[in-house]
Amino acid sequence: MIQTVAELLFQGATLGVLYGMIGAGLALTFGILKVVNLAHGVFITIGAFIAIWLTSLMPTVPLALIIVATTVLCALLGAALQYAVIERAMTFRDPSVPMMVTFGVSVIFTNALAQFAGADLRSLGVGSIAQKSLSVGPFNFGLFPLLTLIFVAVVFIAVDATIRKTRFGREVRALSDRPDIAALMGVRVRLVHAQVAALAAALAGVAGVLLAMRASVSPFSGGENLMIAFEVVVLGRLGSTKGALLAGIFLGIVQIVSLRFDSNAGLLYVHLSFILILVFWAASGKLK
Amino acid sequence: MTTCLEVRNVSMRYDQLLALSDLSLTLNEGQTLALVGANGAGKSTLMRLLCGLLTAEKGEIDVCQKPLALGRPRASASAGLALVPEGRLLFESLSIEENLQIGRSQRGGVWDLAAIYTLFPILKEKRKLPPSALSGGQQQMVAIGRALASNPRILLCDEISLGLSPLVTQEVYGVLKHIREQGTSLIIVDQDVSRVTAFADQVACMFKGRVTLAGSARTVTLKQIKDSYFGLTT
Amino acid sequence: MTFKYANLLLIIGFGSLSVVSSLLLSSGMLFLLTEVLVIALLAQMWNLLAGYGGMVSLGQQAFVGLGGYGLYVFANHSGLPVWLWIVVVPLMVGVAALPLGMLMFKLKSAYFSVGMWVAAEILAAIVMRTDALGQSGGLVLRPGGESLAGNPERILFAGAGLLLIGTIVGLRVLLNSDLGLALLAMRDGEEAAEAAGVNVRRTNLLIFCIAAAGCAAGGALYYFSTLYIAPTDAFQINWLISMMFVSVIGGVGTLTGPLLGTAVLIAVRETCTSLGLTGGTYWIIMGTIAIATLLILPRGLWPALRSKLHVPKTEKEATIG
Repeated sequence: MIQTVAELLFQGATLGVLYGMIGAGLALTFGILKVVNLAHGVFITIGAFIAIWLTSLMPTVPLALIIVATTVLCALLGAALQYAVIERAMTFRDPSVPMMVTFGVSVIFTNALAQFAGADLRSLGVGSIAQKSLSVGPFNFGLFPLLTLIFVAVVFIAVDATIRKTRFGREVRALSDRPDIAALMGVRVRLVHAQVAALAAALAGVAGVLLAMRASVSPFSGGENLMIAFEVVVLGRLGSTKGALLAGIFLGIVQIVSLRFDSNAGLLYVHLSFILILVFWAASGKLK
Repeated sequence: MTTCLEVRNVSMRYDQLLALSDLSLTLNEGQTLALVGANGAGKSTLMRLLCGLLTAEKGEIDVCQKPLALGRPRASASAGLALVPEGRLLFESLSIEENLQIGRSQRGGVWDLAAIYTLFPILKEKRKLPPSALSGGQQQMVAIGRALASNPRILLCDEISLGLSPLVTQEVYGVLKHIREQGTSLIIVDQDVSRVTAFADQVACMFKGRVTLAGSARTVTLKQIKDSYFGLTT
Repeated sequence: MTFKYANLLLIIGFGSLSVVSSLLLSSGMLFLLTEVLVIALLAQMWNLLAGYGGMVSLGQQAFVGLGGYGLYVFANHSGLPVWLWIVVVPLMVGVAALPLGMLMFKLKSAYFSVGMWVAAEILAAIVMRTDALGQSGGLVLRPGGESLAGNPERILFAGAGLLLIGTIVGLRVLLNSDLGLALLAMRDGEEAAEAAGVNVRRTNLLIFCIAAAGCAAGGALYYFSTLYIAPTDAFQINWLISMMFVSVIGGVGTLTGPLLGTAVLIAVRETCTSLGLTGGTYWIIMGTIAIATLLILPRGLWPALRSKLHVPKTEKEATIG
């Protein structure tokens, strides 16, 4: 019994940190660009499919390299999209304009991906490491999920340090506080925007690759992933990376536990628990 | 004496409202200009135009005989214009030190972090804190320091004494005096007309988007300024 | 011509046009055109919510699905005529939307948008798992337990035409009333509108429920014509994408815009079909047109066209951008 509980929690946590990573990217763009990027979910599927495509092209290349290449490609795509399309949409006063533009982008990308890669479910093999596991006392942990956990932790610490410690992070925070004054201080606004978009897309892309190693993805998974990212941002109370991580882990555990009891539930219980918390917050006046 | 700022026939409007109308102005290097006028006369608009937050409908601005690209904050910053904005507008998510670092420009000069801390020792003490932990006067010091960090040729100070006690205001003017002595030109907007004209070398009085009175601070009388302030002269 | 007579003329003209064409056209054509009318109706509803109400919902497909399923459930299991349910079900959905609206309005702007999408997903998942609703297999329309006799597509088409024109006239009247004034005031600033005595929350809720009922009516009409309903179809995001693209292309915040946008949608879709292009290509083209419109003419084609053609502004418009 206790083994099962521990294993479920572990599985939930390893899935949840990926949710947290997706959410952190969305929170970043929302906090700094003030744009709700509805195309964020698509970067997850794009990341997964780029990695699948690269491994089929070059089966001998180690996985770590594939992940790096995918991250770079996603970052470039994110920056290009920001620079070419979203930046212009942001010049309109109404925030719904960039939101609708990014929705349009997600529709285009989703369908383009389906045309290019086919609409089937795909997944990414990780090789022999998938079977390896680590025993701690009576508990058995998969080596691969454990590595995922460590990897995500490192990514989170790095992102957090970048935002808090570096010159780039300083400019990002200044821009988020007061965009026009930051521009006066010589901050290159469009450049920082593109960098932030690249970072968010890279986070989503990496999460996509790791998700494709756990379960299958289709070109149409973008919507689901966007909703998860959004739920992470709301539950994690926008802006804090720690909050995103905790909210992600919570949703991941809900997901794994609910699938254990009800295998075709999909994301129903994740969504339901999100709405229930929302209702509870609303009733207790926590939402203003 | 060389001119460091020349504004020629600048007009701009917000939607229909004419905010600046055919305005011209010059400022010599190392001099301090007191910009006075009633609320809505266009002082803040002119400041925002100079630092690139707004763009003009017509007219040109030269900084050190070089034309300034309007409506581009970075162009203004690299031309050597820095703003101490009305209401300070510090970055709340940044510490005091980070607020001072963000304005650091590529242009070299005397105002590095150490020099700013020498000018404002209190800020060095509180450098790790967020701006909200400071008093109004100290926040104004951060705003001035942040602008100084870019080693500006011309420091624009909008509503410099707004919300400050007389004692703190005196302290701020002491700091401005020190900055002027380093050879920096200043444009100061202040509701306290007698104080700012006593401090300045030149006075420009604005009414309804134009300069209605300009001259040396020593020759222009308070009576003239008052008349101009209320639009009694043309 | 006064406002009243113009409205009357619109109803009579457009109404008789749809009745006459329902008698003349082939049933395949009628089926296609009914879908077109439904899309135009849905777009009007999305536009009412987003353009006039400032609430960009990404979950309106939920109401389409509810309208369809509501019709099937009540018509199949009650002895009452199916035509009655096509009127009653949308009203029921409109009322049921009230508590959802009250919850969703706790979420501001973008949170509302995605929150609605989550709500729609939950609803779809529940329907897909409910035995009585046929789970993922869906339901067949059998009013009172019997197969439908005759060919309903003629009446459906005429009904859809009348409903669309009735909706447009209704919205014209609504926007010229105090409520319309309140809505436009709210677009300029909710606090200011509140200070001027507008009950922002109640107005928003009312609009939300009207839009829900309208989408349900569209869903009921459409799935009546298909005689079969499945959750993956009824609750699909493509309903929402159509509504949004059509409104955005034609002009958010205008009543003529969504009609113009529907015309664009049909033109693109028929061109794609005749060229043998896939559905995916069609969505890519529509998405590109929508984005281009937003970036170049954020108010949409109709306001731009109207000023080009010097057509006087006869309707209340809400601006975006």
